[in-house]
Amino acid sequence: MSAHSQILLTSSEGTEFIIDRDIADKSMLLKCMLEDIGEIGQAVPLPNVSGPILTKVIEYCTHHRDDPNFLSANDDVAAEIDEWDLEYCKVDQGTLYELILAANYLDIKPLMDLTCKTVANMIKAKSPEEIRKTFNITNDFTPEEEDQVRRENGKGSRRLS
Amino acid sequence: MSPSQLALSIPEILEHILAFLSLKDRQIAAQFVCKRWRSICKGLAPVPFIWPLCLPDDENQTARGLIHLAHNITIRVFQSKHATERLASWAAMMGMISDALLERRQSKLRSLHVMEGVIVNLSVQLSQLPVLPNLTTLKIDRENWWDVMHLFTIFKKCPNLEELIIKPTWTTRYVHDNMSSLMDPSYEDALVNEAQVPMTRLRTCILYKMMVTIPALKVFLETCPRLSELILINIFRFNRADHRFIQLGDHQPIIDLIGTHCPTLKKLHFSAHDKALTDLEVTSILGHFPNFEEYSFSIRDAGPALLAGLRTVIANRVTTLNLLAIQVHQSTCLPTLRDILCTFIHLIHLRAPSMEYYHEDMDVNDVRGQIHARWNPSRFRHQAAMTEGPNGQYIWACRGLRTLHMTVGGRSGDTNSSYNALIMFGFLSRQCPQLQELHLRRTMVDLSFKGGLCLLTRLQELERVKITTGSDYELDEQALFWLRTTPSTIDRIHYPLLKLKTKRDCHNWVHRLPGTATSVRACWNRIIEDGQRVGVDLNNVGLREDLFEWMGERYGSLKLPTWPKLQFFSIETKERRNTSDTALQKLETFVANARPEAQVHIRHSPRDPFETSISQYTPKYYHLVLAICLYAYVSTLIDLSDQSTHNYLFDTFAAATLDSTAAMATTAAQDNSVSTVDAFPCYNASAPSDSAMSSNRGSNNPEHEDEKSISITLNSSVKNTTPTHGPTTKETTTAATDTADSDSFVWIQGLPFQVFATPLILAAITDCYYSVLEPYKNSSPLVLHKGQVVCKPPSLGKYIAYPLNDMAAFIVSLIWILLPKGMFLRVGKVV
Repeated sequence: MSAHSQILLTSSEGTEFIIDRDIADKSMLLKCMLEDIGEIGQAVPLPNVSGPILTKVIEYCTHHRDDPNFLSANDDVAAEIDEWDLEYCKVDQGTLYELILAANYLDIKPLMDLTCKTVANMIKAKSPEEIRKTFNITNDFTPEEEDQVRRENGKGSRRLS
Repeated sequence: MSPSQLALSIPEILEHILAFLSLKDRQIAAQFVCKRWRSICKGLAPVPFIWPLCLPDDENQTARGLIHLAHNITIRVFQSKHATERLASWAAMMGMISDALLERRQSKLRSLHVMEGVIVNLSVQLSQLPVLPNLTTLKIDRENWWDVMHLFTIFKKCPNLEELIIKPTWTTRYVHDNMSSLMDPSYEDALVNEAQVPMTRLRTCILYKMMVTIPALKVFLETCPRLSELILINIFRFNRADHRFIQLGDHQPIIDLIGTHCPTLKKLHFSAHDKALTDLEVTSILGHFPNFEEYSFSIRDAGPALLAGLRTVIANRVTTLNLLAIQVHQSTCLPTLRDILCTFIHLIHLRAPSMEYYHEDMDVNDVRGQIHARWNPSRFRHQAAMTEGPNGQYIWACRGLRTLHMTVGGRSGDTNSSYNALIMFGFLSRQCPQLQELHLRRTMVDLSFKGGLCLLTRLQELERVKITTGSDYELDEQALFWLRTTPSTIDRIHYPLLKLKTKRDCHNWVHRLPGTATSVRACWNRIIEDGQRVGVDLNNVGLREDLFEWMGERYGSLKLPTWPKLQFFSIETKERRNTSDTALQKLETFVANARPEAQVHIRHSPRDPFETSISQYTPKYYHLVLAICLYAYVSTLIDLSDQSTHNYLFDTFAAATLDSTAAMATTAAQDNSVSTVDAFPCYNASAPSDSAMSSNRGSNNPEHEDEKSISITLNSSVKNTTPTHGPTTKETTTAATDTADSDSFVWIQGLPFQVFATPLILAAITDCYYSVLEPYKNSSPLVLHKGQVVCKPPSLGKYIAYPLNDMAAFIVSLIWILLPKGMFLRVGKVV
């Protein structure tokens, strides 16, 4: 099996994508599948991923194609996101979440880390109310429950000190 | 459902996102968003777990159930655990962790902290560690030497490590480790040829007393390509082939290796065990890493070469300088803290907790000289002549200093007087207006109002203050009344009185006595003028007027608040004479109430670890332990094949033990014979009879030997000569109670004589034995020199010096002074 063999993918709308095998291998889902069943020459259907998103994902995998530390490079919490990745994540919120879902589904850990980190950066230094607004979440705490959380918190932090 | 709602509704994705937040972000914001977020944040919160190494089996089962929940595990050991047992417990514990991992297939374990005493044999115990794929932090508290090869075992077990710290805590300094931590030469050959999996996440390595060979170090550095912090404390280079250490003075290859292999390094500490770095080595470190903003050296290496190097090449960039006291050193030609502070303009953080800044260099009004003149009028002339004029720079160059850790002392003696404190605080309050973090160490400091701690409130940026001192003189609420951010009503009522008192003090205290020679006086004046030119007003430093001025600032028109940004306030005193623990607790509560937003610690500093480890065992054991230690130690010094020497020594020790016990018992109960037994419930010795217990012991000598065997038999009713152990009960840290009688007895092996002891005594003995004696046992001859044992290990072929801690030094000195003279040893209570 040559590393340069090509794989055919079909997005949810039925658009076909031809990619190199080594790029497909960045996705654990595709990698395991191709290893298990071998290359059968048929298109692999990806019903959960739309065409534009798949294009984005392939762009990411192609860019990191020769990255030797692909599997361990990006999940360092403290590490800065590199410039290309930063630029890559400058998309609207809808696309970002679709990317997360696609990365989760295709099991591409670095992409998952990158996108989740981007979302986490949006949460950082915001108040709970601001977070709710950003993500359109309703507050389901009663005031008493909120007080309870606060108290537990206090106890914990005192114990830590 | 929108993609955002869909994505956030999948718990795994939400957890993944929240995991990237800091603990603080999760605690103060994320968990309040909604119940779902709260439950995920709860799951992500670190669950700490302290695991004592000697839990009874049923508790170990509970522990096993908890493993998969724990984010960080701390393994600690209680002292009554013999080394072999520790090994067994460790193996069992590691087995449990790996079983738990197999069951759950994943663990949350991110941080593992192995405390001092747990590791008995690095080679054996590290190889028992299960593979921990999620582990990011591994800390091993360890004092002893170890081989660089052990790193590779760790790397195999913890492939995703980000932080690796192997160093002693320096607060619990008892060593149980055996010395066989050298690896087989063949491993190294294999290692060099074998490809290593790169540790791409490893950023921080703090390694203490690592023994390196160049090939192994090279592989280590190649394996960790992204290191940003590498701290090598007391590194030792040796040659594995013949187990000989390479010649002194050659650390250059190591430095060059680090220089060429660590392009991402941002912070490096390098100090060698066996000697100070040469000027060339220091220069080459600076040459390899000219772009650091932070440098860290051992004080010993901070010679003129370092300062010159930092000054000429990179003075404009260095913002952080750490100078650590790692080895005992006596060199006097080192630059002083004053030189550093007056030289580096851009210095922002200076951490030199053990380097001294001298009072003499702060005393710009020559208060000390005047006081000397005042109290010794007859020697006034002499004093005045002795007072040297100021020399060099006194005004600090680094006006932007934000962190300062230092010791303050006197060139000639150090007294606990308020004027010394007043000079120090007054001087500091003027020199570094931007200071945010201050840690002052001083053997004695007057913390009362007269001492002038309040003057530091001029440092308005101060966030963290820590004062470590040996004295607890006048440490009470009155001393710290000014700590409230703004004066309370009561303060204001008291203020006129205080003002009056201080004014009277100023008046009574006739300073500016003609105590200083005019020429010297002129020099000091010039310094004060220099200071004023750059905005440092040293005019009143050390004088009572300074306090008066401060009152004006606080209560007058300026309304200077006390440290508006304070986050941490700590006073640690060693002395327990004037304050009890409760008194300090009360003071702590007082301060905490005055500053609710800050973290407050007012404590006695922990006792000397060696002292605590012994004194934990009630005094009655303490004497026995000391005596046995003495005996064991001497037996390493003197040839024991000579039976008469042996017996003579034994007699001396047995007698010493009994004598001190008797002395103690006398004070306790005025009844010799009965109390002796009480004081040593298990000591039913075959040694001296009652008559030998009389104080006239000078003549006690080998004549007794025929009637005694060479064994101290503790509780002769138990004749258990096999090394079995009593039933392990759950120990607590406050170990010693009166349970000794019910404990079973153990035969101690490894000591040069037989002794039966309860586990409690056993623990004390092993602690002492291992920490004091073991490292030196096989090295002869031993020479005592200034609190160090100098010896010549056969493997080394040259003399090396080991510093001893105070207690050990004391024991050894006793032996050294008394025994060769044939004098009788009397072991009294030392603490």
